[in-house]
Amino acid sequence: MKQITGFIKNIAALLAGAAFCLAVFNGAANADDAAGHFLKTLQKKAISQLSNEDISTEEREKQFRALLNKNFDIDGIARFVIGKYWRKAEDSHRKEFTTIFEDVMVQRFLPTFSQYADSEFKVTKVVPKKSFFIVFSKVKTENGEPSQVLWRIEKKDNSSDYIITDIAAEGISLRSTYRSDYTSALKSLGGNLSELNSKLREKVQSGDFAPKESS
Amino acid sequence: MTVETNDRRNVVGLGILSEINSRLIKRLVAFTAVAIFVTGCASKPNSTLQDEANASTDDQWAQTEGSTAVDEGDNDPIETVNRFIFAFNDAADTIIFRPVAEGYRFLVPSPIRDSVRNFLRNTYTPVILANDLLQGDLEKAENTFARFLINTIAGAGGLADVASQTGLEYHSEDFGQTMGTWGVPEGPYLVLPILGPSNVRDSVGLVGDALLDPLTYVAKTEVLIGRKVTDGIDKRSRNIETVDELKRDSVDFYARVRSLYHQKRENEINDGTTEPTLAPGLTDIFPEDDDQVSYAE
Repeated sequence: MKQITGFIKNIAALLAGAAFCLAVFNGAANADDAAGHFLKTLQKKAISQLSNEDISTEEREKQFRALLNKNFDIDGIARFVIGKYWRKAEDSHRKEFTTIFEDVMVQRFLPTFSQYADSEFKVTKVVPKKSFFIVFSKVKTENGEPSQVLWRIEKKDNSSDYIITDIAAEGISLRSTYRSDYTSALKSLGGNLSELNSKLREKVQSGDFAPKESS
Repeated sequence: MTVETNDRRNVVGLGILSEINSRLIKRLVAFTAVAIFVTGCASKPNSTLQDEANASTDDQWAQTEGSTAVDEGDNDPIETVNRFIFAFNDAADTIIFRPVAEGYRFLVPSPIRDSVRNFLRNTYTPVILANDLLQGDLEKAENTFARFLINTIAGAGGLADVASQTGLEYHSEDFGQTMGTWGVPEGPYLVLPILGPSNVRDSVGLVGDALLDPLTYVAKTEVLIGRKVTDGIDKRSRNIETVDELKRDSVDFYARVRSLYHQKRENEINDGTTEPTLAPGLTDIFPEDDDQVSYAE
């Protein structure tokens, strides 16, 4: 009888130990993968929204804008892409630029994300850095070759949410690319942000940022 | 009798070989000298830039600009000249290359265009193989060599890319990349007439690739030029929409291309597989010191 209770006790201890290990390792894995999970969840949300054929173009754009504002650090990216000129600019021009830059992003990336929404999307690894994560992903479109897309993800201040601060496809970073373009343009405009604003607005109005259907 | 003619043939053959050999060696020596010279030169302007960036420590942005090579202004000391050549190239593209590329794409059916590309790629195999080896990448060298054998034999002299269907994907390497993996800095940004965006290292790389190519020593100049032109038209015909988009999308097309060229080359030197943040001597795609930048005034 004693032997049996001892046996049961041992088994119980073993099970408890196993459960503990499982919890610990799972927990550890989750902490590392949280940024990856955030991205996967976002991608699922994007699929359901962007591949919905029933909604109008305006409605789709509205949804995408909401998605972009919630998950992308549009303000931070806008500040980054005009570099030192941000500091010199007037507040009203900054606000204007941020709004226009959001329009640029929507026009530029809504078609791309719609096209990529139902592509194969795999998070391959997450590399934690000092204050951000790099999430490596492989994106494969229907008839395209798989390409590596890197996401720079930061934890939002005072919350458990994450926010995307840059994307790099095949080594080309969104922020760096726009930054070299806009700061160079500002340099030739004598640092006048309001002039860049009106140039960008014109381009948005004529739909210059929307990628054409690839042939 | 027959032995004699054979002997003579051998002697003649050897003569040509040794002729090619001595030319090759001479050129390689000259080339190495140039490469060393350029390496020396290329590192200088970079360090001046670094100094300038460090000098203005009161400007936090300038500091980050110095440390993130992916940037505007930096690394383009002869911007005025570059912009001039860029404008010339752009005009030449609008008037000649884009229409020709478009005509080529319109007139020649896609399978034939693919065959042309496959054939051209196959002729560049020795260059790619040499660079694979110079980079010490035996796996890639093996891949390149296997592709050459399969495509030359089973792919009708390289017209069909049979190898890629067996999982041996094409990859391109050039001497500019090879020098990059050796740690040669890119040097100032350059726009070459007709050839387009480059930098000092990659310009030398172009010469290196020509010297590494056996066809340079064997084929007629017309053939070599013809191959380059066809290659150029083929490449242009494959990115008509991309370039159009880029032009519409950017405010300063020149600056956009300069940044893209730099980032693309870095990625190619990394081969897109190495973790960018770990590769030694290369710019991080997402630099860590971004975080030190304060947005506050």
